[in-house]
This record gives sequence, C-alpha cells and structure tokens, in this order.
Amino acid sequence: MSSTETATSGATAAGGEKRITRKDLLMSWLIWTFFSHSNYNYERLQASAFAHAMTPIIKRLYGGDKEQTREALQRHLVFFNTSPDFGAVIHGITIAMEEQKANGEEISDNAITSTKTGLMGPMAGIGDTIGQGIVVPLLIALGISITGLGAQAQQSGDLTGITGNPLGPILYFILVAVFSIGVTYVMYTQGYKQGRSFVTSVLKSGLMDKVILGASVLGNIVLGGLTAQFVKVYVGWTVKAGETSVRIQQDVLDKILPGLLPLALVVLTWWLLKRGWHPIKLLVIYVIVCVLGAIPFMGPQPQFITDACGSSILQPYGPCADPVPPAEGE
Amino acid sequence: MVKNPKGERRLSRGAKISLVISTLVVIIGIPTAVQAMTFTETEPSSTVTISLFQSILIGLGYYLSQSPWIAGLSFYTLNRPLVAGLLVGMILGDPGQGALIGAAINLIYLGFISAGGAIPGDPGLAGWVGTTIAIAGNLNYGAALAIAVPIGLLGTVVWNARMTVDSAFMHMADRAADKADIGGVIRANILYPQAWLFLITFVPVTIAVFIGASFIGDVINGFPVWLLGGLAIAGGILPAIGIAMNMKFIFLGSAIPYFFVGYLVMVVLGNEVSIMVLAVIGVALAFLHVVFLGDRVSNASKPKSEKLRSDKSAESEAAR
Repeated sequence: MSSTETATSGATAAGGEKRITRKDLLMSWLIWTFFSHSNYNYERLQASAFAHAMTPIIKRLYGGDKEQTREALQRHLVFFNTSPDFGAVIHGITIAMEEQKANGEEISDNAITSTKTGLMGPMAGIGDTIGQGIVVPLLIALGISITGLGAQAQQSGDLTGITGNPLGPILYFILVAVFSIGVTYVMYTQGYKQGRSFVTSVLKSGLMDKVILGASVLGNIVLGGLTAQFVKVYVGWTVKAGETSVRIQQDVLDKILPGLLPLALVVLTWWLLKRGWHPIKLLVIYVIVCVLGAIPFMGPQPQFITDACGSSILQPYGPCADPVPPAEGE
Repeated sequence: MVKNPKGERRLSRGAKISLVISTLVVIIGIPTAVQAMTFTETEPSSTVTISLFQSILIGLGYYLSQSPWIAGLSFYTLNRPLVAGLLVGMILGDPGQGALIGAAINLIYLGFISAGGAIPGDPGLAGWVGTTIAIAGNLNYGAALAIAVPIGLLGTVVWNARMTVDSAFMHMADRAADKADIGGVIRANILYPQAWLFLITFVPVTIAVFIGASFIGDVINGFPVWLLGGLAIAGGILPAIGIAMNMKFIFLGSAIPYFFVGYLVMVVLGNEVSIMVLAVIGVALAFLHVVFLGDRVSNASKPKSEKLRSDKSAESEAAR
C-alpha cells in the first residue's frame, strides 16, 4: 500500500506511470457526495452511483482504451451499499487499488470487488450507528429545542398563538451539512492515502467501539431528556368509592414517580420494537388507543378539548385541575 | 449479468407495474375524488387557501427533499420535518409557525433510520404535506401530529415506486458499460431516475396540496371535540415511537442507565431547559464512562457491534 504522496503531483509522472491527480480525487468525491442516492434501487442499491463516482478515475487511468474502460465500468456496477458518509473510505481505497492495477500490478477484478463488499457491511454498521443513530437525532433534538417547541406548546395545544424560532432548523441545517460533508471528505482522502490495511487495523483496534460507546452514552442521556420533555400521558380517570374519590394521575401515579407513565411507555415501545413489532403497526395501535381513551363515557360531553377532564380515561395536555368537575353533577 | 445477493427483494414485472399504477391512483385519485365531493358541499371555510404558485413551490420542495441536488444533503435536511416545516412556513408566509409544526412532526421521526432501503414511513412527505395541512387548516398540536402519520405512510408508496423502477435504470447502466459508454452510465445514474422521481413526487404533491390541503383541514376541524381530544392525546404519545426507534440503536449494554439519568435530570430541572444543557452533561459523562471502562470497552461491547454488523451486512444499510 504505497500509493501515497502523489495525490498532489501532476497527471502522468515520468516513465508513463498513470497517476490520479488531486483534481480527479476531488471530482470523484463531489460526484459521490451529490449523487450517492440518485439512482437508489432495490436491485443493486448504490451500484450505479459507485460506478458514476469512479468515472473521473476511469477516464484518467483507462482513458482511450475501450476494452479497459468497459471492464472497469462493469467492475463497479456490482451490488454496493454502505453508509454514504463513513463508507466513503471504501471509495478512497478502491481508487488506490485501481491506480495500482492500471500501473501493472497484479490485482484481479475479484480483489477489488471483495475489498468493496468486505468493507461495506462494517462501515455501514459504524456509519449508520454514529450518523443516523446518534449525531443526526442529537442535532435534530437541539434544533427542536431552539425552535422553542416546549411544554407550553403542548400544554395549550393551540399552536396559533405560539411562534417558533426559525433559527432552530437553520442551525440544524448548517451543523448537519458540516458533519456530513466533512466526514465524507476526510474518509475519501484518508482511504486513498492510507489504504486498506489502515482501515482494517482501525476496525480491529476497538477504537470505533469506544467511540460508539461514548456516543451511545450521550445519545441515551439526550433521549431520556426528550422523553421527559415531549412524551405526555395523563390519566383523567377518577375512582370513586363512596365519599372519597381517588384521582389516578395526581393521587397515585405522581406519588410513585413524577412522569412514570411516559417513561414506562417509551421503554415498552422500545421493547416491542426490539421484539420485531413494526413501527407502523405501533403507530396505528397507539392512535386507536388514544381515540378510544378519549371517549367521554364517565361525564358530560366536553365543549373544548381542554375540558375533557374526568369524563374519559386519558386526558390531553395536562393533569386535571383540582376539584373534580363531574362532582357538581351529582 | 451481475449476480444480485439481494435477489429476494426483487419484485416481478407485474408487481412493479401494479405498484406504479396503484401509487398514481392513490396519490392523484384520492384528492381528485375528494375534490369532486367538495363541490356538492360548498361550505365557506375558515381556513387558509393555498394558491397554485404556493402548491408548485411545495411540490418542488418535496422533490428536492429526495433529490441529490443540494450537495446530497437532502436526506438529512429537506427530508426532515424540522427543516421542511420552516420552508413550508416561508412559502405560506409564516416561517415561525411552520418551524414549530415541523419540529412537532419531527418528534415522531426522531429515530428515523433507513436500513437497506426499507423505510418506516417517509418523514419528508409527512413534513412537507403535514405542515401544509396543519397551517392551512389551523390545526391544533395533536391533530397536526396525527395527520402527519398517515401522510408519512403514504410516502412509503412513493419510495417503493422509486426504488423499484430505478432497478430498470440499473440495466441501462449495464448496457452503457458494455459499450464502454461513460456518458451512458452517468445518464443512467442521474437523468432517468431523476425524471422519474420528479414525476412521482412533484406532480402528485402539487395537485394534492392545491386541491386537498384546505379541505382536509376543514374535515379535521369538523370532528367532534372528544375525537380532537383523542388526537391531542396521540400528539403526546406518538413521540414515544420516534424516541424508541432511536433507542433500538443505542439503548444497549453499559449505556442503558444513562437514559434514566437523562430522564430524571430533565424532570428535576422542570422540563423547560434546553437540550444543550443535557448534551454538555452527556459529553462529560460519556468521557468519564469510556475512560474508566478503559480496555474493557472493546470486550464489553463486542457482542453489540458484532450484532450490528451482521444486521447491517445482511440488510445492507444506508440511505439518503
């Protein structure tokens, strides 16, 4: 793996050796950044995007030779799928291998393809856990927080009076752009410079495991906070036994642990998802349960959303106000 | 022909055609039928009407949210309801309101992860069309969230139509490669799939928003109060799914207790502090956790990462 240092030098070095220029590498990176999912499909996922990203390299290395161009294009149109940002290291490595091959080293088509397929799984695992699993939700949570969607929007329920801060989405956009483009660039250039052995040694060293663990700790704390802030379940039910009435929400649940129900609900949802329930199925079930829970069978018909208190099992926006309203009807 | 390791995902030709037709019927047919019914009612609406120009901008926005043109960032940006909400708000003349509704809808899709091209609902469509309906119909918080859910599900139809038909362009790329035609491969990667994407995103969304958005808002506002209350309750509960979907990835091993730490810290701080405060605490704890677990980390988390990897390579992962 000594395909280094020449990244910045001229196109063809002495002795007719074919070299990738820095411009070729940047061009290939740009194409991948833009078009990685342009033709995303069930059959071979990112295959045509990979071949597209290789076109500046193929032109430089095999330009003019129809047979070699054809073989190179076909070589890169095989099934490929990875994380678009962290997985870009594979492109760098592939470019380095293509360069060696074009200069007469014994590298079979198979060696290139198996390098690609061998790395795309692990890189997808790492990239999707860090990118889609932790960094992006974290930045979105930050954006939501800045937008000002807090308890007050949920308490009143009426969104008309409240205006959000547009800075939230804008800041999120900038941060996620820096993250995504930056990672893709570093991966592309490092993959080309350091080659395959570097990547496998990093994968083996357990460094990525440490990064993922640390990021998971951070992610879990933020998710816990989001649960407290945004998941709202209130029981409006009042159990009456003779003279005494027990309000389930205030007198029972809040005494055990404030916000017990939202916490239990999130953990239950996680457990169901882990057991293979489809999120869409859960969405449908939850909406149905909410609507059923809102049927006013215990008290008078509510005139406004906020005065459903005590007439149904579940209660929107907040716990019931103090004196139980249906008492006056008795 | 290249062997496809994911052959079982491929659909037959008949299934492809029927999928495409059903997509068009669902997306164009339903709003048209709905519109036909509204002519008989002709009741005055208290809602915001959306002009054709605004509909075109919203349709264009949804196309862009799936397209590669914004430096390939669309999947992380325009496709997220938070950003889509702001843009819809700007188009309809109320950016702050749009950003707020987008943020609310985004809670459901917080843990949205596209794995191997299969998506659980489309946050893009939920964001663009959901925010439009919420603003046009002046909906409350819960109803805005509740309407975004079925719209997001409809988005999977668009996504499937795209992923299925794009397979055909793969074969065009093969033929171009056989002729050593680099330009042909590039056209197969950009031109044809983007034209198809434009057709299945811009056209139906523009028509649906122009014809249906205010109407759907009217219908929802006509619901009985207890049903609106039910939707409002759902608005408080649905974020649990978004959070739990994210937990599926990181609620593992020795990181589990930190979820409860974060929860209790937020409860103690009265639910109103910025997430930034928690994030700073989180970074400090993450650092301590990794440092003090030291070399045991790689062993302790081995089963996790192994499992993740086999998951991924089997399902072969990624998305935008």
